Amino acid sequence: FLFPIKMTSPRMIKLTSNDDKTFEVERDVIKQSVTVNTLITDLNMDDEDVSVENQMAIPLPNVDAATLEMVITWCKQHREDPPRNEEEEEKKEKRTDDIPEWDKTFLDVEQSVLFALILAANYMDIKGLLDNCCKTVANMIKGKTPDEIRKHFNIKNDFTPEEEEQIRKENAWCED
Amino acid sequence: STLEPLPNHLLSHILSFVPIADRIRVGECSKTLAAAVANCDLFLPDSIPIRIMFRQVGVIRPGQDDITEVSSEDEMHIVVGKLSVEGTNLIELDRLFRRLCNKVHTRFLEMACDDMPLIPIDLFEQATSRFIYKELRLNLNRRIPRNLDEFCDRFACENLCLTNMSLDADMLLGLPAMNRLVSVLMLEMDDQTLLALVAQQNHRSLTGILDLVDPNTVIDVLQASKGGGNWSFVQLLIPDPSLDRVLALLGYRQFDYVEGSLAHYQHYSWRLF
Repeated sequence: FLFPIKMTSPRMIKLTSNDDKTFEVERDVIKQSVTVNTLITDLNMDDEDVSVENQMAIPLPNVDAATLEMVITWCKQHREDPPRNEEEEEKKEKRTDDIPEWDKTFLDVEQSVLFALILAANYMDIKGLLDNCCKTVANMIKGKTPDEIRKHFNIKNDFTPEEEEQIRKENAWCED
Repeated sequence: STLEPLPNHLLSHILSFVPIADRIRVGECSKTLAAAVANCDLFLPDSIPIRIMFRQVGVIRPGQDDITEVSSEDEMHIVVGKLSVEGTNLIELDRLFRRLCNKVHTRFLEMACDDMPLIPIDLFEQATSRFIYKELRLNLNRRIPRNLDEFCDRFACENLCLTNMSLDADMLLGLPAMNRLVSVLMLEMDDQTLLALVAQQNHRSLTGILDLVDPNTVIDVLQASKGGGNWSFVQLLIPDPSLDRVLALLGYRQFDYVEGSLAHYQHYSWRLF
């Protein structure tokens, strides 16, 4: 006997960036975004009878196309990651030397791109991506003097020399 | 700038991954960042102990132990987490307390009196009234201060850490303060003294820091403790080479808290807490 095999294609979801570019992404991939996941559930978009062509695109007004593309790439890479237990995560030691190698390379981008990713990960509520982006920035801060931090992040020093001296004096206790 | 426009909660999240000194340096970069760092409310994470060490050269005389009366020439040593300032005078210490008092939630407030004949009780009062802490430890080196009993009367000191003591068990157990303390920390004691203390029934709970090289001695002490004192919290400070062996012998879940020393410290304390 031959039974017909039903080929099920993965469920797709449409996302639209703030510059009107639409991306189709697998439901399983984008479930890492709590924001998108909640919207899908609330809007009953898991209905299999609705084809992707007829499906409403989820607008992401805070994310541009280039960043959204990167977010999707990250989600694809991490689709098999075990679900995060936030309570456990809270208890964990805060460290920055545990960024996976793939993420290290992926996040080796210009600062503007990295910070756009932080904002997108925060808006889309993707904790893993947000953490790894923030750890990458933390690694840029660690061990630097205020001058070096200013230079690295292009921060304008708006303290007067007197104010700066006063702050240094007040904070002297924290230096080893 | 890329860092400045970030919302506060994201800046806080980034700063939560860097040591305290780095957070403070970020606040020194600009007025915007200073304000953001001040509002971060992550000055010290809950898990970082605050250690305040009073090191006095000479003697604190009775009546001189008030914070306003002690000369600023006195050598003070404050250790906050991993950060330290030496030579801070008492006025600066007071300022430090005031600056930190609303920010600090700490598991341990640890006071170390290094070779002091008298504990500066008023200084302790000053410090403890400002910090929000869950557990106060008193560390004593080399000698028992004459006012230890008074200290125990005035403070709900849950832990007394005796280090480098060359006292025999009888003398130690004969101290009235011992009966007032909920628990006692023992460090670098000889095996006999340790076992005698463990066998003592007076404590509601007994906390031990065992800084012993030989893992077999650790096992003996811990096993003796099961039949004697009611140990609810065990802190092990064991040199690295022995730690794995001791932990394997104990079974990881036997105690509430196991802490290794040196490189193992963070790894084990977080995994096993």
